[in-house]
Amino acid sequence: MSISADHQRRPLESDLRDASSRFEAVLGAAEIGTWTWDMVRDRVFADRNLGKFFGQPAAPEGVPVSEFFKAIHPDDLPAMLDVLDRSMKSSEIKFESDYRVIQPDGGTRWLTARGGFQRDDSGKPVFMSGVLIDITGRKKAEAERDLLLQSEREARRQADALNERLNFSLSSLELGDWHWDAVTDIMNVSQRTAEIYGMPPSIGPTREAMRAVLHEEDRDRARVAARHAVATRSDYTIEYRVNHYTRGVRWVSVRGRPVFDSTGAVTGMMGVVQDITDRRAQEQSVIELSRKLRAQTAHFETTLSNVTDFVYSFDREGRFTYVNRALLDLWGLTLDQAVGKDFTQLAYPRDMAERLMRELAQVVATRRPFTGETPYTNHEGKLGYYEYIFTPIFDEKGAVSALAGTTRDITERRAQGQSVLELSRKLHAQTEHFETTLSNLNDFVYSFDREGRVTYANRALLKLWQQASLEECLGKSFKELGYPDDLAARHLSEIAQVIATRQPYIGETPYLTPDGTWVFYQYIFSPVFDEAGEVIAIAGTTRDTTERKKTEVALAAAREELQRHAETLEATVAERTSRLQETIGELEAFSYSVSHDMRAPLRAMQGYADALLSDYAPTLDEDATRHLTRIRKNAERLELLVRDILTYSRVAKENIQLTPIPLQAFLDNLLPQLPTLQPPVAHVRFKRPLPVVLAHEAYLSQIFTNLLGNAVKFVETGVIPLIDISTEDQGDSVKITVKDNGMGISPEHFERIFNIFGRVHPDKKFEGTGIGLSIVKKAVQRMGGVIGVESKLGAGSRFWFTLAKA
Amino acid sequence: MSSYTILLVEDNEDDVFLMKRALRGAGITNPLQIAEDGQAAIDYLAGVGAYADRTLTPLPMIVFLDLKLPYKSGHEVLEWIRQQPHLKTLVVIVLTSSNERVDLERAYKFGANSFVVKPPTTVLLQKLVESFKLWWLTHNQGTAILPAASDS
Repeated sequence: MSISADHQRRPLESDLRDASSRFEAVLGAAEIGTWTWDMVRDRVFADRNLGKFFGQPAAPEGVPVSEFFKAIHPDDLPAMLDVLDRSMKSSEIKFESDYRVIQPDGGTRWLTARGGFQRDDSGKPVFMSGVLIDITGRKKAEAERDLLLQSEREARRQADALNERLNFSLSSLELGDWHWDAVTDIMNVSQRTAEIYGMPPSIGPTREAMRAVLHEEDRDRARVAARHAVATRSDYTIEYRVNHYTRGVRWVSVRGRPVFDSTGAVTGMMGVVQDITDRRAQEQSVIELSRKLRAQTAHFETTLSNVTDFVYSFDREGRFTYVNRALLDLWGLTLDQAVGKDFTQLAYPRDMAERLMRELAQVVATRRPFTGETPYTNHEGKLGYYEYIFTPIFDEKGAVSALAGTTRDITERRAQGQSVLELSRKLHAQTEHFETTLSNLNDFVYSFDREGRVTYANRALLKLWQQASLEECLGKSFKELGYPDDLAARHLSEIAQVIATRQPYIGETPYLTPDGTWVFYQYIFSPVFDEAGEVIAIAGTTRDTTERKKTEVALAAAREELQRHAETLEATVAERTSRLQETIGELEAFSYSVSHDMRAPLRAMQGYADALLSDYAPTLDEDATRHLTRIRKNAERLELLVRDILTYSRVAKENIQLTPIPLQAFLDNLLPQLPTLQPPVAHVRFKRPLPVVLAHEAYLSQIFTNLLGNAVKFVETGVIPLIDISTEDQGDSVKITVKDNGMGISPEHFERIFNIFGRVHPDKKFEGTGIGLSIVKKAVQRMGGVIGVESKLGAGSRFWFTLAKA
Repeated sequence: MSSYTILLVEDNEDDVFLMKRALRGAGITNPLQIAEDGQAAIDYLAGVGAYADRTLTPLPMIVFLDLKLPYKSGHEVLEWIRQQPHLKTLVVIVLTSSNERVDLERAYKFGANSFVVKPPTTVLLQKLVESFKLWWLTHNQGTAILPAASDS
């Protein structure tokens, strides 16, 4: 694998880690190890499975190949080295070797090694990689099978030898003979018979004595046989045991025949005996052997039936001689149906059958095992993948007498291998898709491992980091990416927090970009869980929140400013309110003081002047009278001013309640109280009916009294005041107009006349304080209305004001 | 009727002058006694100190009471009067420069029989006093104010 290819693969690695470990586990379950041999540096990198095969610990830095060679069985090493040497020299020759590896515990493990080379331009091999398959189980099965075949041969050989020995023993057979006289009960036995029965010499050879040496378990059987022979007048043969006095229990074969006289009565018995202990033992051993053989065969068959691997054997012509249960199940056949048939006859597809037959022929020819792999569709139509080994079986002379085979179903392993490939392909496609999508984002998207090293960063982030490609950043820490120490430390602690809490972390940080501007980033670190629920990585997104932050800061500043303003305003208002209240308080004190303290002297001035004028009238000259009159007049005028000022201030500050007032009844009551408005001095008219308004009665009196008073006051000499009061419905309110035929007011004075002391007519001609209209305006305002005037000099005036309708 | 004493509680000598003049102008001949501050009014009505001799300072039937007075205000005097059992029926007419609503309400609350604002001119004062004479001295039925038990 080239370095760049390796780099391209790296981003996948973390994602594929799970899949890889599963793959490795699968390989482990299948007892397959993988390895790579850097031949230039002489370093072998083995996976865990392989390390297990050789009983070696994991060595990420690799170990010299000789370390592995050391463990190979010395009997197998030369052959393996030979194949290795040849395959290195020629790419035509595949490296494939079966050998044993001696385990640390002294046991052995059978391995099949297969490998290929990567060669430099000169064809010199520089890399070698391959797989190791643990075939110990298969070898064991093969050995067991060989043993079985061998013991079968041995059994046959033994049986043959036994026959020979039996024949020999029969030929050299020594028979003892005996005769028994029933009348005398005398048993005549030959020397040989006596030896066979092993009767002590002290005992006479009687039938009873002979019977006594019979094994007690056999006595009844012997008697029955003898009686039966007598009854049927036939010969009999029986084998029984005797208790030989020196040799212990011996097996004896007896052949007997009843002896009759001329009348046909039984007079005795005669016969021959033979010691058959040896023969019987031999027979027994044969029986035992064949029983054992049967048991072993059954055991072996059971064993083979229970293995999921297929175990089978062929004759040299490729016809099946044995098929285990698993393979029969695959075929859906019985053993009888299968035995004697070759692949073609077993309905294998033609090309497959031919290939398999060729491979079998190759094994016979090369005397070497053949390993292959093939798809196969079973009788139920299910497609599977199978790996198989055909092995030659040699006879005693070393000729290939038969072939044996084992086959393993690798469908699942293959599927898993394929699914890993598929997964990796999908992941690549998905990654590309993601990458394209993420690259178009201005947000940063990235992932870290648990130690905070980069495992992914999208283009926007790479740009920020000023990194040309993702490969340059992979595995780098924050510090290596140029983050300031404090920020790097903060991020690491945040990642630790995410791992500990398993919860996302949201943070915000200022960041000095490479072009020297400060920006604000808001980021979210999220935990990524594996299937076991462990946090295996941290994924994150970061958004530039500078603008928002600016807005927020501006907003906060504005808010603060506003707050300050509000506080200032509040303080100002509070201050002004308190000042106002102070002023009001002072004003109240002032007006109280005015009422009491200022009016008393006025009253006194006026009173004394009046007293002088009435009590001393006869003694006063004209001048004195006129001066005293002026004093009294001025005092009266000042009294009026004080009164109006007090009225104005009272109207301005009093709390009032508005009540419904029927305007018509109100005027009917008010007008008669005003002497200056009575005909013929003046005329006041209004159209009935008048509406009901919301007002304060005293204020309303004040308003009408003032307006009507003005209307009769400011008229040209000789003119009789004519006043019209009218109302106009304005929806919620009523507009009340007081029209006179007075001298009128120029429009430029409209504003002024409502101000305090805003007089527009000369004092001398028209007495007044200039406060009246101010009081009217204030009263209207206090009742929620507005006031105005329409007039022309010399053309009368129309004062109007509004009040709420009741 | 003319024998009953009228007590004028007034600190302003000008107003006392004008009042005497108006009473005289109205032909009212009842003896007029003057108390120049609130405390003097109380002392007079209680008959203590300078006012112990009822032959010289007899209990009045009608009191004109100003509100703005030295030592004790008119309101305080009025409150005191109504706390005295033997003075509960005494006719008290408040005569003041103030037309403030609070003053008016307090006066009536404390038991004033009438509230009158001092007229701004002698003519109006004269009219007022004449009305007074007609109302309080002619038509109104009062009760004699007897001295308190301690007084005798």
